[in-house]
Amino acid sequence: MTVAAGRRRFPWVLTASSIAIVAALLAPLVLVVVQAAQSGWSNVWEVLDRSYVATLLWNTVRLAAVVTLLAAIIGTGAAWLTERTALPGRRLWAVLLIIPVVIPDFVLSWSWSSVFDAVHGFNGAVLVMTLHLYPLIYLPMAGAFRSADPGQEEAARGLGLSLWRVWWRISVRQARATLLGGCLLVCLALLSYYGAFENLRYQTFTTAIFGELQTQFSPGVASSMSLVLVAISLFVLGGEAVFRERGRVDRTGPLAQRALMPIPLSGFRKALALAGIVALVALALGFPIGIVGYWMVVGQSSGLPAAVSLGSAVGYTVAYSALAAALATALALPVAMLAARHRRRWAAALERSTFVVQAIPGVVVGLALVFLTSRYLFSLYQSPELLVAAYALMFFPLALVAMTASVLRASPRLEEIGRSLGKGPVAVRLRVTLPLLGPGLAAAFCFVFLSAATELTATLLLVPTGVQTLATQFWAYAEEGVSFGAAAPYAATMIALSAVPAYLLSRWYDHRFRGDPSGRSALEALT
Amino acid sequence: MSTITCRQITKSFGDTRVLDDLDLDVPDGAVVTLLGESGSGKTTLLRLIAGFERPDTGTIAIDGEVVDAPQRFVPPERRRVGFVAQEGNLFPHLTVARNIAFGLPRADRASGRNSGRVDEMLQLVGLDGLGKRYPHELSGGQQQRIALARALAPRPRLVLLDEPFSSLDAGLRASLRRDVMEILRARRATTVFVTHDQSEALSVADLVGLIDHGRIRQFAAPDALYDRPRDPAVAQFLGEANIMPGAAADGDVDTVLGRLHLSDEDRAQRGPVAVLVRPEQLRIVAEAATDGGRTFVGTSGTVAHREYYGHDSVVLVRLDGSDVTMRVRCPGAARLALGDRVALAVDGDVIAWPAGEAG
Repeated sequence: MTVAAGRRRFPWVLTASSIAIVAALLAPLVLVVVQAAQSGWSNVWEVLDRSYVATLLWNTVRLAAVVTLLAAIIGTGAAWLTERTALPGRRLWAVLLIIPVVIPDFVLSWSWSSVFDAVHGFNGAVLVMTLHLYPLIYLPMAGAFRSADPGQEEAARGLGLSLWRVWWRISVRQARATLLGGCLLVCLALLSYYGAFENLRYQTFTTAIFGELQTQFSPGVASSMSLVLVAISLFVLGGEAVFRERGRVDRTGPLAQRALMPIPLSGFRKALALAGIVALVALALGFPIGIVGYWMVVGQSSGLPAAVSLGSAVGYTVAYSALAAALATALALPVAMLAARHRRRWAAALERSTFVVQAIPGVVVGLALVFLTSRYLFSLYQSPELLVAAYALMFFPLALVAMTASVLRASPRLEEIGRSLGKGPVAVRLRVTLPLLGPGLAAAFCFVFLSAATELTATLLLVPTGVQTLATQFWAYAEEGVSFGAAAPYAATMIALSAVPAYLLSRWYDHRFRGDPSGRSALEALT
Repeated sequence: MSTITCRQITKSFGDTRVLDDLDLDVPDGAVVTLLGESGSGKTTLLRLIAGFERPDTGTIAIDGEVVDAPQRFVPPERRRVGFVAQEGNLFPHLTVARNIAFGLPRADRASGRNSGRVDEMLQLVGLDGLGKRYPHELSGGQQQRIALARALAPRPRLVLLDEPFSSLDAGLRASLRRDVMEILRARRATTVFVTHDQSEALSVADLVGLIDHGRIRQFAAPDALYDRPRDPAVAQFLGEANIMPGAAADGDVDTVLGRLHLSDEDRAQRGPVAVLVRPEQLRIVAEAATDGGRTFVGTSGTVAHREYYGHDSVVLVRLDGSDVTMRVRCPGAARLALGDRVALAVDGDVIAWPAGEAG
């Protein structure tokens, strides 16, 4: 008879491991500051004072402004059409419209720049980024329209407002917080991309930082610019968190509500709406896939060695990504458990602080880890372990989101019932807790795996010497700008690895674990 | 089957004292309801008996075996206590059959889908044939039936029910309650049933424990609790009550309703008292007149408010010369309009407490 069992204890183990994990996650931030400090604050100031930084800032701001605006218009419009109108084939469009954001940014940009020379600079970046990122608006807005209270729109129509004015004054106004949150997600993505902008010859903070590190080899300057980049990202992330909270409050009304009646479209409007959606899907999804296919066919004649190196790249990519996925899942579990089972304010704050990682672009993670290992832990420099750790760190929030629903489902109440039915603590863990956590753990693993397999920026900085992953080998061919045919199989493999499984996984989870939204929430987090 | 004995149980969460020096004795085979408002500590007491939490002080014994004391703790899996929670808490990843089989010995589970015990349980709760379903494919009422079947399958010594019907709607609730209680009574299972619904508590129990601020205020059979509440607060918690001051002497008590007859237990009371008159003891009569026997005719008044419930109605009568109103229960629709002049008669004896004991 154990006396201690059953007494409510402070969760020391969970708390200690969670604090250690959060500290590790936030280490890159600290490292960048340390690195900048070592190069001297006066140097930092000098770098930031240069007109170069002002140019980068201007490039970032104007791109963010235009892309966000266009993405907001396209995403909101498409969401409204697929969720609220009787558009033919809404179900299919709803799926196809999401996929472009899951395709790696540098593959998309390459597909455009490899055929149209004109697609570069500001205009090219606006085009490619809008077509890539509008799903970040589409997805939350579709959710908001789906859960909107139909009574309010009916009341507005009853008061004599036209369909168009109802859309603007009720539907969009109601979803305003959701829309602004989505816009900030677009900004966050723009701040972190490297490959696409390098490809499109458009200078942003990430390309500049990368250039300082790789070609100029001045890590001090790179870290100084990283400070600015991270500061902007943190600011944007903070804003996004605020709007996410408000977006929640906006949804009042009962949970189970009557289904919304799709708004019928007249012949001309229907044709116009359908043409718009078809054009969007063709440009954002059909075009890049078509181009990759085209280069696959054309490239056959160029006679470059592909099959062997493709096999080895797939092998390394799968190995690194699988290890990273396992690590991220293992690290996310204690944090998720602590937040779900010990609902105290500090536990929730600890969980939420890990989302700060989203504001650390891959280039900064790479920079920080290169600094750490080249300076203090040389044995780990360009080691596979370091790359795996970097992936795990970058995609930790994804793992956390993917498992949250399952962790909540594996409630301690169920464990108690299991105990009262005569089963000991170990048996209950095995027969109740673990099976309930399973779907969430698997979702976390899969989504981190898929994200890591298509990561480029940090991989370029950290990949072990002599090793090529899918992303780096693709990049090597794509950067040369001539061997499109050689790059194409890598692009195709990455599209197959990102878009297809993401869709299938979310559908499978919906079907298999109807009460468990892990799959869907993870897809939303992945995008 | 079994008895439960709780002695001097104290339990606090942070600064909040949830149970305060509580004693409880559940006799063998009895159905006991614990009635209290939310936050009164009733669910915590149930969780202590199940072994999900430990008390700060005090001892708990089941069947005379101490299961919780400062130096002894029997974990929940060795207490043989069936627990049915408000939401059923079925294991969502297991079929109904495997939910029910969860607490059965491994040998039973291995031998061909549980050799009849699962089927027996499904039959018992009236859901044969649903063994292959998953919990999310069941209605709320079916889930509660399965939760009961799962709790009973390993033949527990006692059954604890924590507001098992409160998430169901009214019609289903009554019929499910009747079925569940029939099952538990047929098995002579010692049962502790927690609820905040007083009609539920009174209708199903052999004994009702009224729990308030972490203590048992009164523990008695339902009719005794209703007819002889130990203080005005208990009276008001259990059903509707008219409580008024009175002056007692020689087995009678003078109140705004006139001179009323004290019940046998209260005949000895003298001086200022608080008097309980249940609404169903009051009767509306056409005019003030004294009649024989044990009916007393009090003051006349006017109809101030009416509530019609179909099977009966409640009329609020404001007494003349005061702003005191009385709740009166009348069979069927009271054919009265607001402002009608009426007189009130009191049927039967009334009970009283010495004044100042009001809670």
